[in-house]
Amino acid sequence: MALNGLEQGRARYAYDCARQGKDLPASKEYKSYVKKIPALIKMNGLGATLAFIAAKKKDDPRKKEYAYKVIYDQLKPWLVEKGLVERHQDLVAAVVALDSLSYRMVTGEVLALFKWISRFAEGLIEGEADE
Amino acid sequence: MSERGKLVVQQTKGGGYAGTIRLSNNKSMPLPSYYDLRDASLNGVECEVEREKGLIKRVLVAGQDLQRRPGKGSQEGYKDRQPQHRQQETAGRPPVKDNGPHQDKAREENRLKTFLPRDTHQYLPAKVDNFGLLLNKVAWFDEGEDNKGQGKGFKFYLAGRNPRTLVKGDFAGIDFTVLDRRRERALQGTGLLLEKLPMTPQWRFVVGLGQESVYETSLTLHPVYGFPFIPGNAIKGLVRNTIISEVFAGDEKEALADTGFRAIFGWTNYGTPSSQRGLVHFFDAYPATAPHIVPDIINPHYAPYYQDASGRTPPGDYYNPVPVFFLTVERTEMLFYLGINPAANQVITAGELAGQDYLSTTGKWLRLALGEYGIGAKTAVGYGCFASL
Repeated sequence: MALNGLEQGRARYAYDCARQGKDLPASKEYKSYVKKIPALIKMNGLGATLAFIAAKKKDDPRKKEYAYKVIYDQLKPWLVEKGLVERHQDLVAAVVALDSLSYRMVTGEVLALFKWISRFAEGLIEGEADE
Repeated sequence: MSERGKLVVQQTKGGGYAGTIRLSNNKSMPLPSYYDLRDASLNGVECEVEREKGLIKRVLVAGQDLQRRPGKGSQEGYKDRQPQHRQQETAGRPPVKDNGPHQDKAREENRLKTFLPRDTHQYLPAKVDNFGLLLNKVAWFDEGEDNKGQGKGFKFYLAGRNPRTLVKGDFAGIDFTVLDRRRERALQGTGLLLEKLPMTPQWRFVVGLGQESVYETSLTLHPVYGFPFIPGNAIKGLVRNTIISEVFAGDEKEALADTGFRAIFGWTNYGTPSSQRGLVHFFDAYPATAPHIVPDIINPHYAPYYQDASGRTPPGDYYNPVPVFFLTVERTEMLFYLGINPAANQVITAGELAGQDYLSTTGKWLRLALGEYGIGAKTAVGYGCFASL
């Protein structure tokens, strides 16, 4: 049960994330971004990926890049809950301040979470972003 | 290259000591603050200075490295050679006072950051040998020139008044001749009949341009060696597609009905025993020599026109061009290998590809595909076309 519990917890949180993503005007972008984030992490590492998202996100809900903001804001509470990041810290700064062992742990957690988010986003959100 | 100079040490208001180096050409440079000056005893002492791109790399007094501050020394030494990390923005930066290119460079490097975990950053060597790690794992983030977010993002190339490549492809550490010899021997050891095709691009090629990357463009690099290579599956796909276009008029169904085609590439008759795997093995193509990596540019002039799905924006010349940089491989000979089980390499007797054996037929088509269709991205505008030697 314990192991199942971990994955179930991620799945539950990921489902709520994907539901929130579905209701966005930029829901298609949300879907395509959550699917590409694991690939970005594998290519450039978690720190660079988060910095990339932080640089791309826009606060205007009408903009496509608002989806990046939603993703960024969804990620942090999960890592805080898991005790991997402090609540008051900036996410990017917190991640680059980690030693490499913890960094790998956080990377693993983020990848595990995004596996679920992209599954649910795939199921809940129809259509592809036109890019 | 080292220059001779003289140290000038003065007491600062805070009670510490600050150094200046007076070079033999009468120019002065401030001594980076990570050097540990405890008193003025070195005032007037002769020294040797090694500089790179104008920045002080090394200071020697009587043949010995000048003492650096303990503890932080390694990090700050690194900082001196490379652009900045977010966490250590203020400490230890060599002050740059003279005007001109130095100041531009210092300002530029102020804007650059990497996002590695703390200890990785701390032990990062001055030079990362593996191009793949250097490009993708030590990616530089440019904070942009102003606060409006203009020019912000990950970059391997800095455009502008003093354009410069941030990540240089240096493959001096890899002996490509030996690598290929070993590879050829290993392939021969599998018992396969091989065909080796050395091919050189007529201009440039870029494989994997669309892979996800924080740079927005990408280039497929070997996961271990870090040099650009062409994956075997890309080569197989190209040859297969070329034959479908040239021989079967683009009709894949017709191609799959042909016995020769099926035998070479394999086919799936979903779940039935009649499915078969391809007889010909397509191996990755490695460079024969140290590859030349060249930054290139896509420069859309009418971005708002392309982005407007409603079709109401005209393609006006009053839009600003948006340069997008990508990396290409130029004039680098690549070694393609095809293999087949010798017993299976029979002459094709039936179908459109009849005439020669499987391996020669595939080799012929590979040469034609690379020469006329091209491999990788942007083949329609001349990238990825290879001429055989």
